[in-house]
Amino acid sequence: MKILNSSLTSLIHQRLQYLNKRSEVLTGNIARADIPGARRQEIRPFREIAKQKIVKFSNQDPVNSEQYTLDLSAKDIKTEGSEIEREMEIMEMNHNTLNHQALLDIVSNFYKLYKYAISRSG
Amino acid sequence: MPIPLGPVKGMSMMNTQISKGIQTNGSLLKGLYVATSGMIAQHQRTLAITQNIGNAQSRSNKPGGQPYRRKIVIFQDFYDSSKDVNLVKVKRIAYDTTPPKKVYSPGDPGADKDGFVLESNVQAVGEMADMRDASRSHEAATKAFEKIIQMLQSTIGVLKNA
Repeated sequence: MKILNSSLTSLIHQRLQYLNKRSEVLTGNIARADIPGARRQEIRPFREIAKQKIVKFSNQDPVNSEQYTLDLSAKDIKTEGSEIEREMEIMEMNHNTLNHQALLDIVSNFYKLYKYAISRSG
Repeated sequence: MPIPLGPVKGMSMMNTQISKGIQTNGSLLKGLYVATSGMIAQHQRTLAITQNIGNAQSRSNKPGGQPYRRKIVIFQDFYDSSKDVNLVKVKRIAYDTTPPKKVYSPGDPGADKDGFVLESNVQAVGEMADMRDASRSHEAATKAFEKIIQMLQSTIGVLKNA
């Protein structure tokens, strides 16, 4: 199952986790928009987080290994000085969903390749 | 009708439907909780505004009595440790301290000896503007909810076809 251990698939899964977390943060902004003095929150850029986090590989249980886990902590979410604008948050949410869909398309294509490889080898 | 404060029924319904069967450590599910709390908070705000509009013309029913006072909903974000997520709730319902309007109406049962009766301090036009704002906030939370559902459905779709 080395094929599932590629750094590219691992990166895609981490990026998916990042986008999931970002959707939570953006939804939080929308929900808090009417709280007096509430400030916008944003997750740190994926590039920064991915550089710092150590990707762990395990050969024993590749499917359930820790390689797909991106440990996002409260430190990765920063509070900005700007006030929350609902329309901007919705736009960011749409952007986030599009990115998520694009990544899922890539994952789907990976699965198709695996299926093809398995069917050819059988 | 009293406006509920703190933990709300909708959240417990979500709890029953989602977290009983599925772990809530996923960010998408947490996002659903946040969006729902936002929608419920806006619903409570809408309820208060509706009460304000309904009582805009109300007067005190006895001389020297106080009329209806405009309600103001104040939100607060709080950390829900059971779900490990920051949610939004109604902190409290405050009352507008603007003095009530004094209307000359000698025949009113609530009129004082000079013929003046106290009327609610609600400004209907301002309440309508508030209502529109609450509606837009609710709509934004609904859109966020829908987007998260869309992301979940896409993910399930990919896994189903894998």
